[in-house]
Amino acid sequence: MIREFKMSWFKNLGHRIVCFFNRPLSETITYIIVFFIFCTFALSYLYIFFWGIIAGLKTHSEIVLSPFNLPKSPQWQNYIDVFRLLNVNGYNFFGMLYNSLYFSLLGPLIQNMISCMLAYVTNKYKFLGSKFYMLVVTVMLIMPIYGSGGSAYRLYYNLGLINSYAHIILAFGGMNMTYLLYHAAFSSVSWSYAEAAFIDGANDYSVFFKIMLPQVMKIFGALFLLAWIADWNNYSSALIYLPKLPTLAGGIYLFELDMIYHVRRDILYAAYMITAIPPLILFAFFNKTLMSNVSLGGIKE
Amino acid sequence: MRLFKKILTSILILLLVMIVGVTFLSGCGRVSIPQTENDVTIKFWRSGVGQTFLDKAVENFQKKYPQYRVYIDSSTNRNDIKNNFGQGYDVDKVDIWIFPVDSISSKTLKEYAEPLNNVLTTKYEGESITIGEKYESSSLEALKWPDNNYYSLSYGGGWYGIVYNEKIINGVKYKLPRTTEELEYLTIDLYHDTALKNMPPYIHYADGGYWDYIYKVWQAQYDGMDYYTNTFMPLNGGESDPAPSKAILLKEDGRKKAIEAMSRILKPSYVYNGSNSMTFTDAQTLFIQDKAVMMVNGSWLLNEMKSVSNAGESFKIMKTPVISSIIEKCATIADDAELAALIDAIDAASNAAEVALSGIGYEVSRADADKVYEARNIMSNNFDAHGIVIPTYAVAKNAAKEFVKYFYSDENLANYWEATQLPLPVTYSNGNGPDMSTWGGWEAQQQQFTTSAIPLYSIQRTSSVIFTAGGARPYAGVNIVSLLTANNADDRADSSKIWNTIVLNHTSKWQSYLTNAQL
Amino acid sequence: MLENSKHPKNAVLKHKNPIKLSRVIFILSFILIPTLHFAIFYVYVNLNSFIMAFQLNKGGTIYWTLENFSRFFTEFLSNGSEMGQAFKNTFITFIIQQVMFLIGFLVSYFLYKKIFLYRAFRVFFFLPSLVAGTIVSSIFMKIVGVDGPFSLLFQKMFNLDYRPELLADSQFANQTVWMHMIWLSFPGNMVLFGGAFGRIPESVIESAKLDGVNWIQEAFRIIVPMVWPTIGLLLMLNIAGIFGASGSVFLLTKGGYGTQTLSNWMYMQIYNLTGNPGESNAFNYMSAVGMMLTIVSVTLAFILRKLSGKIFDEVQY
Repeated sequence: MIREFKMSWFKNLGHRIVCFFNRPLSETITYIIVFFIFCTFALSYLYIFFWGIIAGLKTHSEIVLSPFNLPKSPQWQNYIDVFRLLNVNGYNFFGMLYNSLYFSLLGPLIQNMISCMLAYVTNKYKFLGSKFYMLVVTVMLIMPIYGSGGSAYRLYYNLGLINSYAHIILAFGGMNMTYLLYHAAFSSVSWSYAEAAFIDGANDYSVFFKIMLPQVMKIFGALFLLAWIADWNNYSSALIYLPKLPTLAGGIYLFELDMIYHVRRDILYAAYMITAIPPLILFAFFNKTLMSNVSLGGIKE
Repeated sequence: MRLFKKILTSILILLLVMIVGVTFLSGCGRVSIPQTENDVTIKFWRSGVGQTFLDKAVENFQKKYPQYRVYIDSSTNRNDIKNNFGQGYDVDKVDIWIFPVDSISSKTLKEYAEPLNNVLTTKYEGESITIGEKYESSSLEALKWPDNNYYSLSYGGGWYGIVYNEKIINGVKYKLPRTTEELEYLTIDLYHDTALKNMPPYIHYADGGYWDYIYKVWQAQYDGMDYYTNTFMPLNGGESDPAPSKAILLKEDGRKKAIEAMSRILKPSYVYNGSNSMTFTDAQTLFIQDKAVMMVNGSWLLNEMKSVSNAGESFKIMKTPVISSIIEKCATIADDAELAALIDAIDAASNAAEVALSGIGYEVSRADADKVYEARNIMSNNFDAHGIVIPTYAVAKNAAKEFVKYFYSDENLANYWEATQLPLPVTYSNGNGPDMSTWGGWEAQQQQFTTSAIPLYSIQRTSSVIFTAGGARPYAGVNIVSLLTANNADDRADSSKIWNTIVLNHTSKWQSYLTNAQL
Repeated sequence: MLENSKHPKNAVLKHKNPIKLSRVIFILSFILIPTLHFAIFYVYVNLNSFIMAFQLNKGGTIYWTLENFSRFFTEFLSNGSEMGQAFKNTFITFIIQQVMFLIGFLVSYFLYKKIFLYRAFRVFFFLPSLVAGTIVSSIFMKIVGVDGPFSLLFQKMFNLDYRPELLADSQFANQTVWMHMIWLSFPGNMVLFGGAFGRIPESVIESAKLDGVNWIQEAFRIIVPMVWPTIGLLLMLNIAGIFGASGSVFLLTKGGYGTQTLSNWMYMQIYNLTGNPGESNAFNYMSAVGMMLTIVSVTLAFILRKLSGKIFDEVQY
């Protein structure tokens, strides 16, 4: 089977090479140039990880004195010491991992669910105000309001949402970009499934959870993953709203300040690489889901 | 692959369920510190002083006083105290802040910090003098507020000065400069020394490094400590121009002279390239690894860098050179050579009265000798900024005070000095300082400054409300060092342009200073 | 009774049964939480921000004033002010973002056309977004440091006798921040464009090929009109967020050396005051600045909304 796969890959490659050179010369040259540009950027992104991994194997002095050389003697111990030394406001790696998982898994799940439910009910049911939501979300997106961060901070502070797990309450909003995506998705789901279910005696909840929601599960999965990645890496909000409940993204910034203070850049870079592992694993398994299931059809009036 | 995906999806769902469950059931695994009268929470700022001394103090205190329990919560974020202290028990559950206190406003400190006067008037059990009497007098005076209360005490810190590499400035080819003019010549000679091609005279870190602790010394040298402390910092123009005086703030005084002195010794080529964007530990790492000859730093330098190098014997802090323009205020000192000769005599004397008024190369008046004596011995320090503060709303206030008393006991001071080998402006109850027989040259030098230096403190208790609440800073927040050492000529400025910028900033912001200070 | 729309194939069917209590409860249960959330965390927050713009706190007393606005205009109009600099940098960043939007479209186009090793490129291009910005920026800062290759390159390019500190030199700091932004935003909206391109029927592309179109014609005369709703919406969101345009200024320079942007300035007002939201008037000033920016961006959004519908007619397929 492997031999057959290899043969078909070579045949495919051969066919592609023939097709490639059958193009007009200008197009061939364009593709070659684009290919080299892509290679440059791809290699530069890989270099971040390479540099980080190598820096994690050096001593602090080596990083400062010769940042681009290979380590004289690889300090593998650094990658173990990270788990002992990584501590931000009383949270170690696992504590911060917990916080990251809590906010980045629960948050997108709740937010996507609420958006999905709101989009479904406003798309499929006619009631007073059903069109209001689409209008409001459209206006919110194309006319952003600036400068309300201070007011928002004061409200969160007064409600006790700063440095609190209750901060997750902010995920309970459904009126955002994902609402538009779900609304568009439900537009292409036929109502006849629901009609059949109603005839069989199903109620509205059953129709949604057992029939309609599964139809948009692919896009739900893709949006959940996108939101998970964005929330996982969100350091700016974490630094402001959760400094005492550090996530990996926000905590690693505070940890940077700590390690610079303690003359341990080696541990810092080792920590960087370790904290990058969870999203890389997830991407490795779900990249096809991410790439092929999100379609933004625009706003239909 | 599909099977892996299914497994991973199941793991994710299980993880989700576990997270929600654990969050609700276990309070997230953090052990909460009990809040009783006998449970003391210490918030400690981890810095170059280290934490070993505090761990020892806590361990021994709990052994001696088993009814108390002490918990240490450490942090390297300086803003923790600014963000929490003074917000009441609901937010701030700390009983003792062992933290930099220069980031909180004096208003907040006075309102929410427990006066520690009764700690200072206590004699620790078995000792013959009070804790206040153990303190070096000028340090204690610096900790006293105008209302005669002590809202914070010192747990450490050190002296600022120009640290030099003794392997280069060893008295043979290069001698220690006595005046800023000599420092300028030394800088030029070092720069032109081909053997030191890759070792520029200076290195600092971003935002001017610690240089501000040197140029404010030069300011105080020129104007005199009395003017600095009692006229400039309170902006007190006297009866005809009561505080806050704009005229005092804009006056061409020691600040301008200090900037001129800086402009002669700091140029882009004299400074390690990259200094203006470096973190402080990176700059220190390079300095310790012989990549520059001099760096303005503090007593904690080698302690802070011990994981990088044990280079204790190669570095010392020089006595801050006297600003050469001081001769403008000294009628009997003709030139820099005479000033240098007088300084030699000052360095050989143990107090101002002992300084001969004439000698080889100089003949001066008593007033000028005293002025230069004071100038030669002024040193910046931050003992007052490294504060021990107890909030008024602390639950374990009395237990906290007992800990502070123990901190200053002879027993704990011995442990402190054994752990840190850093200076502290206190003595044992017999009047002696630490036993330095096992200390290196660097450590011993720092402790010696405690008895010989005229301290210039980080927080001036006499400071005008324009500085403490108005948002003003003596040099208007201008980054003098970056302006002098920028490689890009467009980013560079000379001393007169820098001074004009300071004056312009103060003039344009004067009204907002008054508004912010509610005047 | 069911109501058909004009297009039976894509009918959005509305359920028109007599109102039942259970249905009302169902609908309410689905809309209550997001509506409450919207009312508290959007309406209240923005209303309060609007009010804060006209207030100042002095000595514990709040009083009404236009001082925040006069301060804004004074700072904006004064020579060399940070606010003026922030506006300038924001506009330049915005223009770069629009150029990168086009480049991102082209990147997605070539990936869609299955350029050699396209699967690998898709993975590599996604890598930076998987890692926290703090990590990428920290490593970037080391690479553009004085000891790095870029400092040497700039030294040679500009014929300098020193290796410049790219992030601490006003001649290069902005360019370095933009370089960082261009480097990371090169892949563009790969996910959204990829999804949109994936919906294009192969038959259209093949018949275009048979007609002898080149890649430029294919990209801009066939694919763009077919995915115009996606492009149009993304463009509109881009342009509406004009004053939010910023590189990673907070991580790279904190706004120093002439790199300040409006977005970073606003972020730092909050960042510097966390823990003491009641004490400072910085939030009030920020609200006033935000209000001025909102007025301008709303006007822009209206104009662009009118224009975007006239560029391409939406293609149904």
